[in-house]
Amino acid sequence: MRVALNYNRLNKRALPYLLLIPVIVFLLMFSLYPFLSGIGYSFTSIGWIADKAKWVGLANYRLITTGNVGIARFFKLGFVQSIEWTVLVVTGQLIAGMAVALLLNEKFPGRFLFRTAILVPIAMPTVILALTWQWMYDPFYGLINFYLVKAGILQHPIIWVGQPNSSIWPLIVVAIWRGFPFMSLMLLSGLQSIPQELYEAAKVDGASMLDRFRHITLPQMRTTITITIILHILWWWNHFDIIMIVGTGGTQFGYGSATLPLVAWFEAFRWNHLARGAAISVISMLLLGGLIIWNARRELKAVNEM
Amino acid sequence: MATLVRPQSKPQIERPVRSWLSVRRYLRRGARLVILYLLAALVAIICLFPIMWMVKTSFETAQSMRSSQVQFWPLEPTLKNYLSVLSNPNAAIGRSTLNSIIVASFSTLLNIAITTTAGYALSRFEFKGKVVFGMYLLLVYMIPRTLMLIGMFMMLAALHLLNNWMGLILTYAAGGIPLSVWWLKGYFDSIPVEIEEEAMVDGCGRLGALWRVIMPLALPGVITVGIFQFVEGWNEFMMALTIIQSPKLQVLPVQIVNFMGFQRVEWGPVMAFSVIVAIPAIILFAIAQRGIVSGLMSGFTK
Repeated sequence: MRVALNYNRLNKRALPYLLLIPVIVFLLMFSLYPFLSGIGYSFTSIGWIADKAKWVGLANYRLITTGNVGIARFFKLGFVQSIEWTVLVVTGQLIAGMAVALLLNEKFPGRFLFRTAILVPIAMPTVILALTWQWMYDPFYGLINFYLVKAGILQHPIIWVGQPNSSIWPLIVVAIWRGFPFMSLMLLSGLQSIPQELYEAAKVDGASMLDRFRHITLPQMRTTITITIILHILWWWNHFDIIMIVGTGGTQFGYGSATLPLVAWFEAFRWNHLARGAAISVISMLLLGGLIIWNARRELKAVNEM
Repeated sequence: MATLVRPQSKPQIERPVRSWLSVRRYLRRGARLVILYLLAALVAIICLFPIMWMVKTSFETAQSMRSSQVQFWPLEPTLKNYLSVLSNPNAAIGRSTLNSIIVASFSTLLNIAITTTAGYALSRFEFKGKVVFGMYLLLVYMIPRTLMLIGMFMMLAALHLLNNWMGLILTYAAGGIPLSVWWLKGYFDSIPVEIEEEAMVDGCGRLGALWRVIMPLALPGVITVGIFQFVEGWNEFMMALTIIQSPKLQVLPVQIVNFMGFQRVEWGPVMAFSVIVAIPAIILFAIAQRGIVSGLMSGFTK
């Protein structure tokens, strides 16, 4: 009896760790180690897998950030475009997402059908949506050129994407379109948690729709909106697929529409400078560092309440 | 007297006012519905238009695609694009579909196998290091994927797992860990502890209770998480592009981009290929839609 009890107690103390071992091993091997070694590689001279890693200190960082030729130029371009891309994409998604969330929060028959309509693009692979947009941007037979010319906005068809000097604007449109349905779902779940009585009380007091939005919806949604914005900045700053597929048209690459993750990927995996790619990624991460720390503190709170 | 008359006459005076009000209210309600439907239809068109365009193109002949007039409906609907994708050796659709199924299924199974026990442990036990573990799970999300990818690429090279499904399976399974663990922990939290305590009194061990009593209850949740991870694996592009080089081993998302490189101006077959790749993802998502949406929302907005 006594033995059994002891066994049970030991079991109870060791069991959670035993249950966690597989996940911990996986995280150490396939997330913590690649992350730390990635930072480590940024201080070496490594170019491709067969190279011996030689410590070079901050040489890669200096190469990237000084001068105005080669990779330093692309880094500066990518930096400016990362900010442009993230700010415009997240702002666009927030405006569109908020409008759709407010709309779907209204009660009307058949609402679930429209909710399904915004779920369809969420379920689709990004790669395929990106290809479809590339087809719509097609310089010869694409729909967008056709209608812009027909409406007289353009005099002649233009090549929107995939050129070395292509602008990032067409890609921003795609990203806003790709991301706003999910943004609106997140905001909608926040809207639905606002107590209905607040609105009814305001109605009795004679508050207009705009007043109710400003004085009830926005303050009640503050946390949801902040979290949504932070998460979307983190996601879209690091976004890869749309820029890669719509922006490159296959293999050729236009730095004109590259953000930092793309500059890093090309430096590492196309030009075989793994160490420089790692250094660009580290800088890219540090630029987001403030946000990451802020978000980590918020999540630490959530974990403590667990 | 007066007190007797007033209550009688009051409804008589108010009735016409009230009905006039109700007509106005009725009209206002109608106008509100019309505006709501118009706006909702606009949103639906914006969301669905590119997808409908993709489907339309996949049924269109190359000639009508190149005509000077853009059509919203294929004038001569044809299955030629689908047939050409299915038979084109450059598309290699059969082989890459098989590759995708293998990679997505095995990574999902691996992910679920290791995260179910972890989610259960987080839900039921208090132990040292729980906070650190939980925090790491959340921080993983914020590490840029390109940085992780470089470290991962070197490690997989050292393990001889580059250009190998195993490399992809392991990375996908690991990448899905944080979301799966949090999600499953939520499912276990919703199952009352009393149920397994009863089972343990009846003579089950803790693991026996987990396997025989809790798992059947949590199964719908586990399946939802599994479907989500499968779709993620099915859709993933960047890792596959970097890790798999041999065309024979390539998975669908990269294969379709490569195929577009071959085709260049032939969008019909590329769009047909896209439809074929999208259908399984949409069906699976639709099956688990309710669980996925509520799970993601509670996970991200906590």
